[in-house]
Amino acid sequence: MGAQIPMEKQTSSPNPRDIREASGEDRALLSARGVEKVYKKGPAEVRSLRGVDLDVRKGELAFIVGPSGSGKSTLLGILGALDRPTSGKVWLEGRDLFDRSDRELAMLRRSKFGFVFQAFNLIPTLTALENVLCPLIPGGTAREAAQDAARLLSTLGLGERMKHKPFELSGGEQQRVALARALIGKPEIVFADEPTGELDSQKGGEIIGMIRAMNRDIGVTVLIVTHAVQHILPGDRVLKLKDGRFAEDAPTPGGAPAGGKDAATKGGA
Amino acid sequence: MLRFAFGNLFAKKVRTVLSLILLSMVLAGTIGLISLSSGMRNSVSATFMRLDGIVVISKGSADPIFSRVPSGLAEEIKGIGGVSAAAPEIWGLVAMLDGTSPLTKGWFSAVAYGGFDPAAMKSARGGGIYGKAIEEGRFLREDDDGALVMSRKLAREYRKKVGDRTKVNGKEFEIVGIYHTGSMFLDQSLIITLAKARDLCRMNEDSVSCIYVETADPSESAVKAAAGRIAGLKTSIEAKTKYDWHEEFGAVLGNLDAFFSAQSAYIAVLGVIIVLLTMSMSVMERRREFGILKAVGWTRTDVMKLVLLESAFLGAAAGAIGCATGTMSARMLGGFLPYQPLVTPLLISATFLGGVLLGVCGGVYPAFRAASLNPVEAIRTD
Repeated sequence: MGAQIPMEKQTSSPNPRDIREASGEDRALLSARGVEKVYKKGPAEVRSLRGVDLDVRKGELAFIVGPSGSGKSTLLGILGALDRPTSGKVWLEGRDLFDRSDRELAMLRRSKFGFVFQAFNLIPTLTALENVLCPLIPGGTAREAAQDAARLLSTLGLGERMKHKPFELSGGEQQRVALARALIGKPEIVFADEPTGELDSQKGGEIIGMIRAMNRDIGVTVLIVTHAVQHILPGDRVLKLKDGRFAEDAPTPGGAPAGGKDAATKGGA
Repeated sequence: MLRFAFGNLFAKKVRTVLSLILLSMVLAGTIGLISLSSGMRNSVSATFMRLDGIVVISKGSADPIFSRVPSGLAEEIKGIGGVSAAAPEIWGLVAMLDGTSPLTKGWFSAVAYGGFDPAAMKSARGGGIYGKAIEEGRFLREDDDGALVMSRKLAREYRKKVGDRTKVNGKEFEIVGIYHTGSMFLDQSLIITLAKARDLCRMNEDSVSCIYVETADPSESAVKAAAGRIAGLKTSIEAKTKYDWHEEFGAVLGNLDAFFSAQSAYIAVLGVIIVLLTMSMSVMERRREFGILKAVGWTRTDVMKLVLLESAFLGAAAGAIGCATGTMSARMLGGFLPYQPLVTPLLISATFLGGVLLGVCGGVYPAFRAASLNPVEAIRTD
């Protein structure tokens, strides 16, 4: 899965990670401290997150794992500015993420963040190409943007499927369209919530491979929530969430991962 | 965004088509109501503009049919300076025409007979309103006895032509002429001699229904001045010019306009409710879609804009269909009415824009709901 992602940032070769290291730029891109989220479910309160601390550096690729209901998706939603925490702080490039209006957060999601969801979440009335351009529709989709979108789809192997509607595409193809949509705004961080959840093992592997390629080739930071631990490789950072807190945060030692779910839920370490 | 919004209307075709049918019927109804009102206004105005002179009737009478004035008044009026013609007339309602009641013929089917003095009418310009409107045959002559001049409309309805005979309230007449004024009021009349009209309504020699007066100078000021002088002759009479008639009917039509305005307002509320329900349903079904849009960076304003555009498109499409069907219906309705409903380019443009406005108004609340969705919760919607 060595797909080359055709983004402007790709031109900053050699590897952006190397450039950052060379320039000494090593502070966290995204940080969270004491993040809590409490939901009201009827009369009861559900504490989904119970004080999460996290630092994510630029260009990093990290997996967030944990059992169902451990708060993985909730955390991803908060880090991606889709939802506000009940308490705690999140900083993006040193600035409080939620010290912004809803409009500013939306603009941030459009320009700095990209999202890939488990259920693909494409707009059914739009073609693959239009779905990719969807984040840019409000600002007007210029010809260059359409060319970028077409290039992205071609790179992801969908050159012949651009005019197809989501229902005419397979699950793997739909997820690749979603991936292209996440990349069209040239984001700094891509949040992937169970991107392989509705795919078979092989297609899931292809999608994770593409995500790794974009992390490697264009230096985009990636946070992946997943149950599919077979896709975690040695050296990957794995954050294990349990009962709304991080139980472990460590790189997978060489040869440890891919051993199945058990290995990952133990933090992959 | 325009293409996206337009395309969304076709996502649920059946619902869109049903909404379009309902909304376009509402808008077509508006065109129908307003065209009826303005058509009637047009017809009434056209009728009064044909009256060159002054009609002298008894005070408080709404119409010459219900008026009685002294026969000798005509001679008195002739003595007023500037008056060039003063012709007595007798008016009554036709109870039976050729053995049937005209009222059985449908809407606006009442027929009146008007008795004229041909000698007196000679002094009127062109022989008066009816004399000027002769299409076939001739107008009444002084030596006529059982002659009748019929409107083209009535001639067609009763299948009559010049030379045929007809019975009015049991008395037989010969049709000597066909006239056509184009007015829904004037074309409901049968013109006979004054003596025959007196005989039909059994009016004594001392009275007539009204006196038609013309001035040598047809200008508004001269006509109004003469009317003032005539009214001063007796306290029991009034002299009405076309300007007076116009004003009186304007007040009546004003009430009609108020009624139609109320109906239009009701229709507008109905239209807004149709769009509101349609768009609310659409937003409810597309919660996940709006969640996705917000997740990928659409602002509240962007989402609101999208929903409002969709509802505006719905309103515009309904406006276009409503204009077309409303215009066709008004034309068809004209075939059953004594006047043509008036569909103007202004009415069509206003209805179309009204459709867009209804769409936007009905879309405001659903747009607000869509824009207020929490993206996380919306995306989790099944």
